[in-house]
Amino acid sequence: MELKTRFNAFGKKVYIINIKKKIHINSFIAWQSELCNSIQNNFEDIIEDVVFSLSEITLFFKEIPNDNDKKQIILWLRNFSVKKQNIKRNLWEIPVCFDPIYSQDILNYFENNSIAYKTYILNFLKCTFQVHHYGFLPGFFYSTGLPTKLNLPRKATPLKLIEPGTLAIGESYVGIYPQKSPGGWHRIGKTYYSFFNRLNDPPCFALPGDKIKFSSINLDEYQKQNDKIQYSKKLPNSTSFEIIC
Amino acid sequence: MIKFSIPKNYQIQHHLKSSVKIIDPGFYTSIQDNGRYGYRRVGFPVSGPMDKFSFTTANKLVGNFNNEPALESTFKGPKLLFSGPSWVAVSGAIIPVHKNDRIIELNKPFFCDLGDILELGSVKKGVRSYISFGGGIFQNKVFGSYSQYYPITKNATIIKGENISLKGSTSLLKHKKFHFKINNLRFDQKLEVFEGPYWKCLDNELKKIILNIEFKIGSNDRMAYRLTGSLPKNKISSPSAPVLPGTVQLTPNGDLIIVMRDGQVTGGYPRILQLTEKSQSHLSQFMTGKSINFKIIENDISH
Repeated sequence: MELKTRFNAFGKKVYIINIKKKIHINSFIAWQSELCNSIQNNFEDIIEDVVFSLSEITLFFKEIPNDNDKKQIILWLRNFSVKKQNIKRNLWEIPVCFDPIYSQDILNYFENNSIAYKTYILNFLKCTFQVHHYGFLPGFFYSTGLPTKLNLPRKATPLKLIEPGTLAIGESYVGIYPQKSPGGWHRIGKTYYSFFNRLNDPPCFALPGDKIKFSSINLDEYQKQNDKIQYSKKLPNSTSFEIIC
Repeated sequence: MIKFSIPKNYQIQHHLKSSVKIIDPGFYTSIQDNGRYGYRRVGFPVSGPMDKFSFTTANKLVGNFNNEPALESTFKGPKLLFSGPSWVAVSGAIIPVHKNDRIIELNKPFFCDLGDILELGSVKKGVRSYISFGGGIFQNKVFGSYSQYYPITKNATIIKGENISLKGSTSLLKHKKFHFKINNLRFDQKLEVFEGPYWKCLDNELKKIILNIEFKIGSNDRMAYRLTGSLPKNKISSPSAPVLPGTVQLTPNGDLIIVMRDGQVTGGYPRILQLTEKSQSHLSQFMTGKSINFKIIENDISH
């Protein structure tokens, strides 16, 4: 593992560290998420939150940390990195309706060229995605796995309102809006599964490192299932797999 | 055998249950405590008071030295009916406060009892007011916090007709002798900031402009404050990365977005500056149209 021992200050109680481990990126995500859980459990007296993204781990300290606190964490990180980990994760199958009413943004992006639009959706359906990290809203995950040629830029001006269940693309990320919210990503489809339910424990079923495959359903099927499932606790179909790293 | 002793006033504090009924919730009033921590990894915003300094003042005034949950109102405050005794204090924005027909001074504890009606009017200056209760609000925590945020809690705000239980500690005796200074709200336009992670990647010309021009506050709420200035458009892109309350992000249009308490935990725009805690409180009392500028203060030396 490559570990930058430098803590980059971000305000006074927040520090950014960069961590690299020589394993495949797909395993790295699950590994990094286990690492964050572990940091939080082991340092709960001094750390109130740990967040990670593609490029960094951010530590939120309860109070301004002293040198000793930082040293202790770096030592602990080194030990964690050499231990072998067996991590269980799931592959989720998510049905999505790609009808033009839900994928208007893609059609607009290709200036109503229906061939380019259809090709884009077909290529999108071939991908398997991986949940990377949560952010933006409760239950909103950023997933990776979109080939570079399918990347779409963020909109210059975000939309004021996006409906829950909307599947959208922002640069190389794919995500599903868990609640009504403003958003600057391109909408490609809609699912009836809810990725955040405050009455479930845990409230979000998809873990960083989980894989996601989308399947296409038509508008009729979407509406039929939407009435049935939207407010239930039902989870999508899944198969489990193990990551050793 | 483990021995422990119960503090003498324990029984008293917990038998004096009291509550308030919401006759009118005001424009946007929510219950806030210090915030919801430990759940940023599933995308939960930290929530908590927008103006932490006024929130802390209101709590101290009624003897809550550990920041108990209080009400945060925006523009127009709520109207409450007491069904039991409680010490109360109002801090934050400059706003008329009445108990029944009597005028109540801000930043001074007062006593309310069964049948009393507390009414906050509309702000004269500032945006947010804090109403604290001796002992705090008594409710179930949701994911470790009392702070209201939909969909983590059932509602985003308090609602008309709702009854809110109070812990109802009626004793202020211990704290009467305790003096602390209350700073008046500041309304000058300078916000103190630290350099953000992306600051050093900006070119010097742009840095200079950012620190020398005025920005006007546009739309704003508990999630974020949007500022417009005369910054040029840019093509800077940065990967989605963690943001926190007070993070200033630069959008491709040249506008700034400052993340606030209910704001997202990651953001896709470059994080150029970070407001100090004091400046976050300061900003949260400003409304649309107000001009501000930034002043960089020395960052913590990193190791």
